[in-house]
Amino acid sequence: MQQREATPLPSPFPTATALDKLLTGGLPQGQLVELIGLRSSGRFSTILSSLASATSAGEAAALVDLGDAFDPQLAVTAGVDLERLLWVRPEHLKQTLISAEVLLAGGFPLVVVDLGNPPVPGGRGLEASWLRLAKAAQNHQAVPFVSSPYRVSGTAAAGVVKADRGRALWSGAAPGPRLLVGLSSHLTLQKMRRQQGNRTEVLRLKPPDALIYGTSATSTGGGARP
Amino acid sequence: MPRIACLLTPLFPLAARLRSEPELRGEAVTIFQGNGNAARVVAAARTARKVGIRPGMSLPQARALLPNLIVRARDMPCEKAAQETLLEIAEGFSPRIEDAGEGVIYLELDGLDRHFPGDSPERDLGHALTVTTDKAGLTAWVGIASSKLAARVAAELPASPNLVPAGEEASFLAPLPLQSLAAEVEILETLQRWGIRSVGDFARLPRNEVASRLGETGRQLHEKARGVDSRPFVPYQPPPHFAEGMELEWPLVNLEPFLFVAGAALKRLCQRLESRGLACTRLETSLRLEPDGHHQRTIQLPAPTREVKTLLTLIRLDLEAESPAAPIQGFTIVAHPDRPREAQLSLFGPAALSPDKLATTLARLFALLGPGRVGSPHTVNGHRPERSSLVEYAPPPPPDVRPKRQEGRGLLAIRTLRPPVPLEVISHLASPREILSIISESSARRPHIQGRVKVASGPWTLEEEWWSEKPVERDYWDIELVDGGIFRIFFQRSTGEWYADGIYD
Repeated sequence: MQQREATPLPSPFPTATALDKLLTGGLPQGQLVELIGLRSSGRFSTILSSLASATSAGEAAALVDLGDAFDPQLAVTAGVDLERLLWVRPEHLKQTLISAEVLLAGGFPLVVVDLGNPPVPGGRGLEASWLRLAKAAQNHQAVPFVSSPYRVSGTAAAGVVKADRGRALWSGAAPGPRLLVGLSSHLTLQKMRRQQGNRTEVLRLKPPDALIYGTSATSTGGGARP
Repeated sequence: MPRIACLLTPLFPLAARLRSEPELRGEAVTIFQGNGNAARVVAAARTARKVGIRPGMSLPQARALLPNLIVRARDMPCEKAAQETLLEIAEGFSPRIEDAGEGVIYLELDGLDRHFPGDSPERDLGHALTVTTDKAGLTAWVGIASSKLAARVAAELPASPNLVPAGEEASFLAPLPLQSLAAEVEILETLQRWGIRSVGDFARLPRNEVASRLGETGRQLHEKARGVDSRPFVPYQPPPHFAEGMELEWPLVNLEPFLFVAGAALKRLCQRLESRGLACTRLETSLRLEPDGHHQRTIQLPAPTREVKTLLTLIRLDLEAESPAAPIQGFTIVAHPDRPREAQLSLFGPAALSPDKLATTLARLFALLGPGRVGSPHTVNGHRPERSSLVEYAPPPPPDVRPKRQEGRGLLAIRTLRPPVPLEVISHLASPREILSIISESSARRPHIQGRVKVASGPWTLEEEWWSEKPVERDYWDIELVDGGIFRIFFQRSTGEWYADGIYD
């Protein structure tokens, strides 16, 4: 009897964060992955890193930014190639879902959907819409990566990763001067098709040297962060 | 002598109307011109002609013969679009064409036999012209000869395409009645008084005698009769844009029925663009309103596209935003063309986005979200984080070889709050101690920031535009609240107010 050859899975899309270890290599192509977490959980840093990973490899990527939270200057610092990034700024969840579906159909290999922080305009959306998004991802072998403060995509998500609320790392001791030197959080794999769940990885992040207090040549008086 | 083909659409006003309203094909349709008692039939469909309706009849006469007659007024936008379609078809066959108006196009055929290598290249070309015109929703007859007149007369004969061998134009025209020369009535009457009935009879008259009795017009007509067409070939210059439109049967008040007819016009427009390998980069909609007036709208597309659905959505959104003030009685849609974006596929590098698909995607997003919400992010001079700008999304081609992915930088990013969220801050020795959120109408839709401050780090000063009337002077703090959350807040010195403009996330 002839043995059936197993179809090789397409290579995953690395995010260059601890998420890659949880998802054995990165975001799986053709499947919807949801990253949930409250504020200051490292969720936004993770999606920015995934955009930097894709665009630095010469690939096009799209960010559907419902919270309008994207800062181009910070993204450059994170390594995002802005020329390859399409920034879409919808006003509510319905527009967000339609935009993501249009982008997947348009051939974008990575579509990051960030729902921002609560209150999300439009609530959780219809489950049918999320299922359509997952189907579009499967049809186009693209990656929809959804970042949300709470679970929204229901059964449409092939993978769900939860980011715990991060712990701020400060240098110095009270009552002396303090300085934010990092954030530590935990990523837990809650669900992944064909993979074992409930695994945890540590996410360590450090702030850039200059966020707004920058050292740009065009600076007109911003003080440099110590 | 160059060989010339004549592409002729019979009953052109009717054919143009049927192209815009294909559901009327096979019906007893009549096109009329004029108002009231002066309204006269200019073209009638076969079903109407069978009962005796002829051009020149008044409308009541025609209705008396066939009470169920479908009557349409002559529609100049429709005819213009149909004529342009014929010209575009002709351009697809020959680089030199002439627009003779009213459904008549001449094509110079020199060198085209290489494209039709069969036994009869001219006949094959004639068939190809007929088939292509049929596909565009028009009927065309073709005649080929060495002069425009002979080609035109040949095109009017049944069993298209009709070929007149080179040098036999005079003998071809000879048995035809004098009227086929399209001469002035006065000259025709004179010739008939002389007893001349056919073109051949006229051609046999001495040239000099004809010129001395009938003048320059008569001389030119005599040359035509001899198969010599002295009129020069006037090459057609294509217009810089494509237009489709029509006069509506009755004024439309609602948007939906208008979009129905506009969708059909856009479909024809996109077919024409596609036949030329072009796409639409700017769309102009001109609505003629009742009783008189115009409503002109222009939609600039983010990238050239020829997807009907997207263009129709854009028109819908535009008209919903800026509705016309009166019922619509006619419209013209003008598409400004541009070359679609092209890309070379890479063997070893990342796959490039298909330019056509990208253009459609951008246009759809533009239609969905409106202007200023889709594009490539762009850094702005200065340090205020809420500032940003969007530029047109035109990604560079992907590298030939896939570069190594960037290693993770482990950067702690900040969610920008646009616009900054106003706060009430209780401070001690200028350092924030407790944050109270300000309740307002808009605060329900903004992140809720409230609680005792666990750690506060700062201040860092930001000063910008000190030379302007409204200089920016902010003292920034990084704070961690007791119940979680790390925020970037600032004190605005000019107003003495506190704001949060970012969340470390």
